[in-house]
This record gives sequence, structure tokens and C-alpha cells, in this order.
Amino acid sequence: MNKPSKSDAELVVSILAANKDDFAVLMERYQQRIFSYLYRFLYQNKEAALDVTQNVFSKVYENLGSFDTKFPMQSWIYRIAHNEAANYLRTISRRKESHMDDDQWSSIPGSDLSNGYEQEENRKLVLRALEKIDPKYREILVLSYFEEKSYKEIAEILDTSTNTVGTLIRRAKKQMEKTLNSMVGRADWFTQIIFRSFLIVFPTHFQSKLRS
Amino acid sequence: MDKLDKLLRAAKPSVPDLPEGFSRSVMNQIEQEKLVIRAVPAAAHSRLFFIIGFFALVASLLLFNYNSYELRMNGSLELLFFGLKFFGDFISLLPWDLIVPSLALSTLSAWMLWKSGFLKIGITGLTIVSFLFTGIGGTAIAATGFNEQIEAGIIEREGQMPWLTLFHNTRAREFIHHPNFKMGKVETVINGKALIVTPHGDKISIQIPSSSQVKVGQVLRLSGEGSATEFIAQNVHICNPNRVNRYFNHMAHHEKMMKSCCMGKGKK
Repeated sequence: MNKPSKSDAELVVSILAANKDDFAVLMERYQQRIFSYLYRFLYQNKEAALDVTQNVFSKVYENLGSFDTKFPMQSWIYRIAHNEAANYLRTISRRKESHMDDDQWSSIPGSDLSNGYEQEENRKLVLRALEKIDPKYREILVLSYFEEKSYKEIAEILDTSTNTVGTLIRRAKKQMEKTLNSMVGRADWFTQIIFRSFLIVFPTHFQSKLRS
Repeated sequence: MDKLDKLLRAAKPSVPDLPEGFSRSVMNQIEQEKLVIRAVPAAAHSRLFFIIGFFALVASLLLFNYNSYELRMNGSLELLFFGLKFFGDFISLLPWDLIVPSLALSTLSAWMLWKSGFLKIGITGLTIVSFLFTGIGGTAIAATGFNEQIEAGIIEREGQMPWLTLFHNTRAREFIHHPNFKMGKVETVINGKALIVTPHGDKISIQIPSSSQVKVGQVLRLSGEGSATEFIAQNVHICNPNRVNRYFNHMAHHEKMMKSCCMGKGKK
């Protein structure tokens, strides 16, 4: 017999009434989403994302008493994840650790040659550029493009207004453009990406052109 | 930007699955570390924090106001007109016994307002706003002559506000005494010597350098050497009377207050 699943608010009430097991239910509802956000925000570093996700749920548990059931649970947990990720980034920047090494980059999941080598190259280029930009801009692009959150949801997570979210996304995209330009070394990085793609797909054609 | 939008969407990295039993391991961690759900401060508690924080901020404003007032009235700012020559003396004349409590009060009020949870802005912003509010507010009020009005009011209503009278008698009561610095209004000028009256009402004979000329009625700021009654000036500044007359009025008020409230026992 299937029990009807409890709402977030009901779970919170139940956990606060000392039914600790319901916290596992709540966690299972959000853990993959939070891990996914942290994994993408924290440079596809699985270990870091796992550690921070674990800390996030410890914090969620400790602060459950202050959660207002009128607000969406998802945004509240994302906000805690945002704070924990910021703490993590501060710690590693103090230790001057690198976020990812080359092996990690080459082992990015999904680097399947059958999907198109040129697409994979572009993807890596964009991800490298994302690593170089300011973390606050990277986070907002991750939330908007990878996690597909609306402006309103992002505003709730970052505890800011939707207008500010719009401004931050615009600035983040500008910084991405600049970074891509500097990485490719030419003004029109898009043309470069297309050119590189052609070079990979039709190497012999371009090589003969260059020789002539 | 459309190109970038497309590239960003296409670059979305796939995410590995969480390891089996992740939630169990978090539950174990919660058990092992004996984590508990923190109690939330009651609304009344938060309100109390907010009210105390607010009043602490107002008290801090008053203290800052007195910092500025005392700094203005003890004449220490005049030392800075001679560059960094008397800077050490200036620092020692700052009213640290008021500055430190006012900084502590500002910090406390910022912390309490933040802790109350009624304000959503960050503690940094709040602290800065508190300091600006108390610092600039206090200084601005001190510059308006508000303190002088309070002082005059206290003198008029002697004995009615004993705590305020006590505060005024113990604060901002002295104009700087410095062996190498003098300030005063010129009463007479004879043969390169001037007789000045200090804000305390003391008369000092000044030997003016031959390169300087002074007139009766001018207020002088002098650096040099000498005794309590005779002073050889090396540098002479002629002050703007509108600005420096406040010292003379202030000290006159004080003399009056000391006589009326403290039967002349106060420090001159």
C-alpha cells in the first residue's frame, strides 16, 4: 500500500516533532538537484561537490527550525548551498589550490567523440572560460543556463531582486565574451570556434589550402 | 549574445549520480556529530534585540556628537594648523574615553539589529550605515551649535537636570594647555609685544616676531616657547574670528556653569 507522499511543509513539521527519519525523505527529494548545481558550479569537481552537498544538508538539518514554511523549500536549500559553495571557494582560494587539473578536464563526462568532436571542443572552451570568470558570474550562469532556474528562483536563492539578477546575467555574459576573446586570441571568438570546428572536421582540406 | 546563449546551453555538463546511500551517510554524520535543530529566537526576543539595538544606536549617536563637540571645543584641532609639528599632542588630546565606548556601542547596536532578524541587509552594510549615521550625524549636529544651545539651556535650568549638568561639567571643559602653543585675543600692542587674553581668561605677554604685525581685537594662534606669563612666538597665525570665537564663548559658559552649579570648585 503506497502512502501518499508528504509535502515539504508536512515533512518539516514532522522532523521538528522529532521524526528524524523524515529528514532522509526530504534529503532524497533535493539531494540530486543540489549536488548537480554544486557539481556544475564547483568546476565539475565531484569530490568537492559531494563534500559541500553533505555540509549543505547538515546545515539544512541544523537550521530547519528557522525555515518559514510559507516559502519554497527548494529556494531555501539552494540558498544554503550557495552560501556553502561560497565558503568552499573562499577556503580554496586561501589555500591557492587549483580548481581542476588537465586530467579532470579531459575526463569531463560526456566527452563522447561520436557526439561530434567540434561540439566537444566548443564545450570545453566554454567550460574553461566559465572557470576563468568571477565566481559570482559563473554561479549565475550555472543557475540560469545549466540549472534552468527562472529569474525569480535565482533571486530567491541569491536573496536579491529579479532586476539585479538580470543585471548580473548581462554582466556575466559580457565577461564570458571577453574571456572567450582572450582565450581564442582574436576578436571574433565565434568565428574562431566555427573555424576550429572546420579544421577538425576537414583537416586535409585546410592543410592543403594553407600549403598553397 | 544569442551565439553565447546557444554555446552556454550546449556546454551544460552532465552530472554523475550521487553515490548509493548518500542520504544514509548524511544521517550518520548527523548522528555522529550529534547535530541538533537549533532553537529559533522567539519573536519577542527578536523585538527586544531590535529595540535595544536601536537605542544603542541613538546612544552611540549622542556619544559621537560629544566626541566631535569635545574635539572642537578643546582647541586640539588648532594644533593641526601648524602641520604635523604637534600631531602627537593632537592624538593624545582625542577623547579616547568617549571614542572607544561609542565605537563599541555602534558595533553592539549593529550586531543586535542584525541578530534581531528584522533587517535583511548584511551585517557589513549595517555596520557601515551605523558608523556613518553615528559618525556623520554626530559631527553634523556638533557643527550646528546644537551642543552650545544644550549647554546654555543647562545653565539656565541649573539644578533641574543634574546628570546632564554633571556630564557637561566633566566633558569639554578645558581649552588646550600646551607649553609651545598659545591662543588668544589681542588686547594691547606695544613695541612688538602683545597682550593676549586666552579662552580661559588668562593674560599672557607675547613677543611677536619682527616679520609679523598684529592689531588689537585679532585672535592669534601662536607656536613658540615661554612661560605662563611671557611667550616668545616663532609662528603667528591670525584666525578667522567667526570660527574661533566659539572657544571664548564656550569657556565663558563653563566658567558661569562652574560658579553656579559647583560653587566654584570645578577645574578651571
